[in-house]
Amino acid sequence: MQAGETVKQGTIMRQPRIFGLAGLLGASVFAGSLILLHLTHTDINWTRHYVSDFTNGRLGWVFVLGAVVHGFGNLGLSLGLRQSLDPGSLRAWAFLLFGLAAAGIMVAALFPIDPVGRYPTLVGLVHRVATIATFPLELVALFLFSAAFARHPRWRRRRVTSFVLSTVAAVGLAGFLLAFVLNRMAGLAERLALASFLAWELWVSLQLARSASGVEVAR
Amino acid sequence: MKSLIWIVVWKEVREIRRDPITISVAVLLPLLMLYLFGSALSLDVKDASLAVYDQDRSAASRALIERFPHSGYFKRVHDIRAEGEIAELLDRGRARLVLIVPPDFSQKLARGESAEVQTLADGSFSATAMVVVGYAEAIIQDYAFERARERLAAHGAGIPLVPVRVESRVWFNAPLESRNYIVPGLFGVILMAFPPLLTTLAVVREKEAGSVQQIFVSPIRPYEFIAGKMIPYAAIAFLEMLMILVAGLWWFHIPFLGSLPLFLAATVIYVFCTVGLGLLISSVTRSQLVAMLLSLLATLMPSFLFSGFLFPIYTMPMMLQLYTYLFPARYFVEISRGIVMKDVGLEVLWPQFLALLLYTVLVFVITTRLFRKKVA
Repeated sequence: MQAGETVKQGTIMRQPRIFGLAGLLGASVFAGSLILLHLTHTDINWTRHYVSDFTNGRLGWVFVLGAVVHGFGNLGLSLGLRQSLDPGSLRAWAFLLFGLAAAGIMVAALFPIDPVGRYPTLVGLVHRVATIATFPLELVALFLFSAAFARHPRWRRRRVTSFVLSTVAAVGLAGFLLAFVLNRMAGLAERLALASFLAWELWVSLQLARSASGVEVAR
Repeated sequence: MKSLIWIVVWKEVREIRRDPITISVAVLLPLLMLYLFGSALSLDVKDASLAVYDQDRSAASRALIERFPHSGYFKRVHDIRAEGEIAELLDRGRARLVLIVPPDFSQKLARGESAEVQTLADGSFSATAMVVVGYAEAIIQDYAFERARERLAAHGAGIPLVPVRVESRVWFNAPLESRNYIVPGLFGVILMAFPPLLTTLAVVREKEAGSVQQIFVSPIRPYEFIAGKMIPYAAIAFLEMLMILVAGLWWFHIPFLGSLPLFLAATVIYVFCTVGLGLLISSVTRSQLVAMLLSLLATLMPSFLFSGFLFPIYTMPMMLQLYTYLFPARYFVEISRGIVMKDVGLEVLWPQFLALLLYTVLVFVITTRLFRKKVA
């Protein structure tokens, strides 16, 4: 009976670890693809062009692949956090919004932005809808996860870091929206916002992947 | 019998009050969605910054340049003195369009030759770059057309320049502002996104906790239970609608042309429909995870894709057009745009009202039957 329980617990515990690794992989692959594209594209102006503009250039598939892997990784991270946190409204909404944002990343990758100098298309419109929804949904999810961390014994000591990183992401997003409205260095502001979101994702994925095997996991 | 419904309503209200997170999300997210989609989906160009490099400095060049700010699409922000300024203006994003008038512009016009002007557009915001270029070309063509007519008139030619003259009038959205049709469409989409989710999660949470079993063994009838569950969430959804209606009209200055009571009547039917869909989903699922996924797949996604909010239904293939009738958001988006933008009443919108009403009754009946089976 005891042995059976150990096996059962081991199975439950291993999943968040795998999902944490998936989150780590997704965020790393996306960050790596962006670094690669920035190094290989001298024609893209970092301060003005959005990262989505890479889709329409040389090695556009690298961006699409990176973003799709990122989306799947975030879905995994979302599932992993769901397994690892206590049930309740915070967990439910954080999981839902983070999952929606992850789906939005994939939709934005698969429906490319309109190429520069072309009239707007429906495909470009889908890209716009997905990107518009993704950032704020993920931001709300980050804060909800931070609050959920405070209610769980294992995550409690990580709540401050999570909250700080979420606040940095909020500032990043606010900066991006401001730059977008003012039409000043929107590309740079978008990169900074992306970096702030990726920082939270990488940090939480790492925490999940490192410690999930040795602690109790909520059903 | 009536009191049992209100007992369920009261129980549900107490449950909702115990969950401030859900209420906060239910209030915050619709407003966030409305604001973001309403402001960022627009492809309109208004007061685009224009820099002018007038090398000719003649009456003719001034007449052309002045047409740009007068159109309402451009705002003249800078006069360029030297060619070197152009790249800097575009690089720094200070001008969305640069208009270059060459030194011989007026001379060529006077000689009756074709004069050329150049426009340079900032393509970094790709979605509107071509719209800006299109407006600039239209203004320049209009100027050229006027000049040609003047020259013919000066030579005594009394014939019209073109055999057919088009007099275009745009009804219902004369300034062609995209937010005027995006925001009324958003009302339908937002209402389909959150109320079903709230309802589904509330019921499935009870199922997961096992407390719903107590309902099964109580003397309450299925329709009383369903109605009791529906009413509080429909009330929240109705308040959500009032909130986004006020916010939409206030933030985006949308002209509300039609009847507010008629719009609210449609909203009442629609919120019961959306909440009913949430209950229907919750009656076939047992875990919150599945409930969330089903709810998103069955309500949020179709309301974006098949309601006519983003993609006009008439441009879809016939099979997809027929498919859109399966989703109530389609009817409500038509009602919303009809009332808000066109000031039409029941004499035009009765088929959509009827379809929405039948849909709601059908959802209620199916949900009650499914629940009855569970009780049995």
